[in-house]
Amino acid sequence: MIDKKNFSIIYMILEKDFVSEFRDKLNLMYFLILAPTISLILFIFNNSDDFLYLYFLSVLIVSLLTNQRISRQEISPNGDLILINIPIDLSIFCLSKILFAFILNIFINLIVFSTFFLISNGLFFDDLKNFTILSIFFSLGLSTILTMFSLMLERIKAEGQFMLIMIYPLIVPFLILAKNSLIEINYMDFMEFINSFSLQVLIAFDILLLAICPILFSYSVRR
Amino acid sequence: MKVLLKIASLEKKYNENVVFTSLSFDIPEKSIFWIKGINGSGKSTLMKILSSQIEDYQGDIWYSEKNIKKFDYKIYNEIFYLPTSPNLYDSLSARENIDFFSKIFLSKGLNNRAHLIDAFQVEKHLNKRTNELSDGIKKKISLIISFLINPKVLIFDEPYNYLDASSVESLNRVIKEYNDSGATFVISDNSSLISKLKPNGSLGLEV
Repeated sequence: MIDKKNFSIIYMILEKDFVSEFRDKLNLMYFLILAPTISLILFIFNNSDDFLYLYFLSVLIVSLLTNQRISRQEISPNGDLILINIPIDLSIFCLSKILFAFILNIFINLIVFSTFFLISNGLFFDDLKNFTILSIFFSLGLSTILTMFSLMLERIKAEGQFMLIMIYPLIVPFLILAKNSLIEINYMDFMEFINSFSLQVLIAFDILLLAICPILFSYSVRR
Repeated sequence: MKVLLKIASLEKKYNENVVFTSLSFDIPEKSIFWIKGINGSGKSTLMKILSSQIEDYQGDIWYSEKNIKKFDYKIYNEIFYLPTSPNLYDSLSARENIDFFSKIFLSKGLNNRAHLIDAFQVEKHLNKRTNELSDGIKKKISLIISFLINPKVLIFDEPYNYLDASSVESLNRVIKEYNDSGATFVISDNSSLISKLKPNGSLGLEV
């Protein structure tokens, strides 16, 4: 349960992460180079002129490549989680890392968006509101899954490689749901899109992930 | 002395390698307990088990007559484990690390902050980033954080590593102060620097 004390813990971890980020530019500078590079590679080597698909594919690939960096900051040189013995449920810690990854994912979206805006000579979608809504829920789900698994991967290293197989039941339905919403983004108006089955299932799945992933992380690390 | 930690038939294996077996001993309340043993004898593993960092073991550990597995994460309010290598955030300064850990652990001994900074002589290093500090200063910052958290049991794994002679004396002095005010210490040490503290009990581990 997230009470006032847990909120303050989340705030403290986020504050620490942002201080580290702005001081060392650990991730943002990396995104700034990687995101346009991946976007340009996909644009050049993919014959499709469907910029919308290429946009979400770029965000997905950049997020996959960068999320591990965010989690690595929490691991000490001897392989332990630095905050392993904090007297709170580790799911609260995982939740704060998900929030941080989500905020950084918004930056990835902005950088990829700028790149596609330039290479497509303008807007590459018909409805800005639909696009924004889908980007937010796509980033939220992606940040949740990748943060939990990258934290687990850093922590368990070779001891629990089979646990990583668990990523598929989570990420595959999420990607299918995101793709279904993507098909509808350009021919529905905002209200239709909000009420569409595929977006509502995507939102429900995001909420489910947000509830399950931190608990799963806490359980796997401390057991 | 009242028993604070009771260890009964403890056994730990990594795959087929037995680290130790049938380990039973008591750690009295308000004592200084010395864990001895050569490298690879399982000192760090034992300390991690005592502090609930490792829960995969056979046997039982009782803290204040309650199995420590029953406490879940709340045990970390009572027992704090300090590893050999300091666990600090490199991007933060020494001061920011102290503030962050003090807040997140809801430290009970914050009024001792100035005294500890003075005792370990780290004042001039507080504004430096952790990745610019020597291993010795990092160790002192970690020790200060542990004392500020001020739990009932402090488990120190090789606390004298990286410290110079005067810092060792300072550490022993602070351990004595906290022990006098009721803290229990479990310390692993191969250098015998702990012997000046006249430990109340000890355990020798063998390979």
